[in-house]
Amino acid sequence: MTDRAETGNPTEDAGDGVDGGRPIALAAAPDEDGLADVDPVTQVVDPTGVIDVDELPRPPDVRLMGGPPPGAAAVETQDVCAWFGEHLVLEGVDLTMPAGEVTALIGPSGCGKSTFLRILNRMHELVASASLAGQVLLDGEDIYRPGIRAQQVRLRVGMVFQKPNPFPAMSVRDNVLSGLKLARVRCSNKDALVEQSLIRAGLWREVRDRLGSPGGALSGGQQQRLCIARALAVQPNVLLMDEPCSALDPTSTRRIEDTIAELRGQVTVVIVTHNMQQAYRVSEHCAFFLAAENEPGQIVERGATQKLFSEPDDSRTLAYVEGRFG
Amino acid sequence: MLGCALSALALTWLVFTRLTEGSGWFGFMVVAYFSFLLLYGLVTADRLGTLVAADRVVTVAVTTGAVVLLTPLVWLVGYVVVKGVAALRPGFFLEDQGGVQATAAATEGGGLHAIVGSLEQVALTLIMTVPLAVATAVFLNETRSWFRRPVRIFVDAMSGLPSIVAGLFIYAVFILPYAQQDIGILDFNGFMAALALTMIMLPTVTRTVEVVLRLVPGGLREASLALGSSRARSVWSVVLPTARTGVTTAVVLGIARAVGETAPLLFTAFGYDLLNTNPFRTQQESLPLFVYRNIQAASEPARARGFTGALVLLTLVLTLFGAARFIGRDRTGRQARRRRRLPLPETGAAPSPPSPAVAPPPRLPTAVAVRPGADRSSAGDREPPGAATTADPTSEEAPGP
Repeated sequence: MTDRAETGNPTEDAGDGVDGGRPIALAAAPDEDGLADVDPVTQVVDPTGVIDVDELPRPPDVRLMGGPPPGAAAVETQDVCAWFGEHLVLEGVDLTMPAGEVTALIGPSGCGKSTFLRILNRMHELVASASLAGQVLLDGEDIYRPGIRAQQVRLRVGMVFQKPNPFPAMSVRDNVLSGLKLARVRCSNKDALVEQSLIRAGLWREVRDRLGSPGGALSGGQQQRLCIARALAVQPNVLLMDEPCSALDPTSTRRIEDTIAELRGQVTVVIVTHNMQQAYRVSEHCAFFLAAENEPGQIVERGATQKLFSEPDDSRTLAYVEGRFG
Repeated sequence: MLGCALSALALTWLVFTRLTEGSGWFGFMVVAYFSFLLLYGLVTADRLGTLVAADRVVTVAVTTGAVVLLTPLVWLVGYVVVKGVAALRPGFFLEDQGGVQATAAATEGGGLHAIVGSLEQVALTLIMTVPLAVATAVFLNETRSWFRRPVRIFVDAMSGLPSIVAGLFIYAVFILPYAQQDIGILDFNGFMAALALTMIMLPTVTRTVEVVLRLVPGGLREASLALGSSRARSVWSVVLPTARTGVTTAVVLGIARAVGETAPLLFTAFGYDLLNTNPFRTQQESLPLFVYRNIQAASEPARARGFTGALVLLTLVLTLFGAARFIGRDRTGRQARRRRRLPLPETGAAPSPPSPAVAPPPRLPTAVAVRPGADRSSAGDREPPGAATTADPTSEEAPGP
């Protein structure tokens, strides 16, 4: 079973084969159980992340005024349904995303994962004709309650998009600080905040000498990490990531996965991914979305990532994580 | 090719003068051209095959089209330059037409009053147009109001407005009713001209800015909103700065349109022979009016002066255009400069290891060997290319653990 899960994703394997340690891990994989055959990968991945952080002294703490409350926040949805016009795209989604942990949303295209993600920070309502039912609780508080402004919610729940989208008219530094400017958050020490955010996004070493150059001049992977730094600069409680690595090469993907690992405990991360291996590597919890033809998307199965990948309850989940469809 | 052209000419000459009673140089040229195309095609097809022949014939046809289109433009500009440059001298920019007799030489007096008037009127027009046009464009593109449709229709209708009607409208509404009352601002003056020009410029700039705003990727708006920004703030801080180059271009197009308009000025600025620096009081000259009035004049020197005015107008538009492009290009220009600077360390480093004495033979191996190294070493302290930086840390860290 695990053998097939491993080999069922040829593109992923081919992509990761770039780094030296991976092929050996692959060769060893069939002899071992599901848990162990991923471990070598994380070991290869980890060092870069560790070095990245240890080499650099942490900057002094930065205080934000008017920003979100400190710490990670749990997100819980209750019976969420979403429509575009008359078309029901998401039905009865109950999901708990625990504070400070990583939750991955997996499933084939068009099953409402991205829509669900956008519901979590009220980006859903930006689409004309979109409507919604159910409750979304951020630390127990309904974010769709009348009297709560979408801007407050989005300040607490940051988002990273599929396509890197740094603001082209701003420098790297201004991009990181753009959240403060746009949401009118004040900061005690901007330089420290820039450094801190870029370190957390794993980009500091590469751009510290050119903070003044335009954000669009970076490579694709750097741009995406800049977007993560930008989202982290306002110190959100939750970070939503909508297929953040789908446009990136394996090296950049690995660095972003390292970043996600770094964020564990500080921010609640919800990540949509089409990459099964990535979901397995980065997340503690996992939810599998599925939509039958002309039917709204639903959660088929949710739970600990380990369990979902090794012994799922539902046969469709098993088929999907093994790569038999999707 | 030359042979084909000569034989075509000869053939046409033969046909026109010997075989038929051909007449007119135009017919001669057309027939000669087409027989040239035919001969050229046939000769090439015979020697190099039909594919090459078709390619060459089409190339010639397209080039001819470009030349034919360019000719009137070059002719027009050249004509104005040739006619206008005779009376162009520093005095033209320093003097007005005060006390200049109709029979005086073209070099007497100057067009200072017209230049000042034009600049003032266009400046006033800009002050009124740009905020209005940008606001309208933002409204059309960034809101979801039902009122957008009627506004868009109005803007479209306005852009079809004949310019003389704009002038007439201002004249009928603001000037004619108050004709005898001597209210300074409601009389023929530069400000009235600016109002009329605003009516011409507003729809042009609005539509162009709207198109430019539409080109700003939706992802940027989403990113901005996802950071907790309000809609108004994301338009102001993200969308407009991103579209800055395009907005500048739109304004330049508007200026180009407005500065050359004569018709709206006829009933508003009215024209004047003396320098009037106050656009809010009494009639004022402007360059198009200066040209219009002088070309119409009976005397030869006045006509020459008109051409000089036209030349100055052309130059002014060109200068404004260049200046605005320069301002708009600022950021992208900096990027382009960086990109151009990048190969420098390469080319600077490559020649230094092989000394000038042993130039050709070792070049290939050393250049290839040196290049990546030179690139890498420069990556640390200079602004490196994105690819080099992503590759660098990993290659340094890999041997570490």
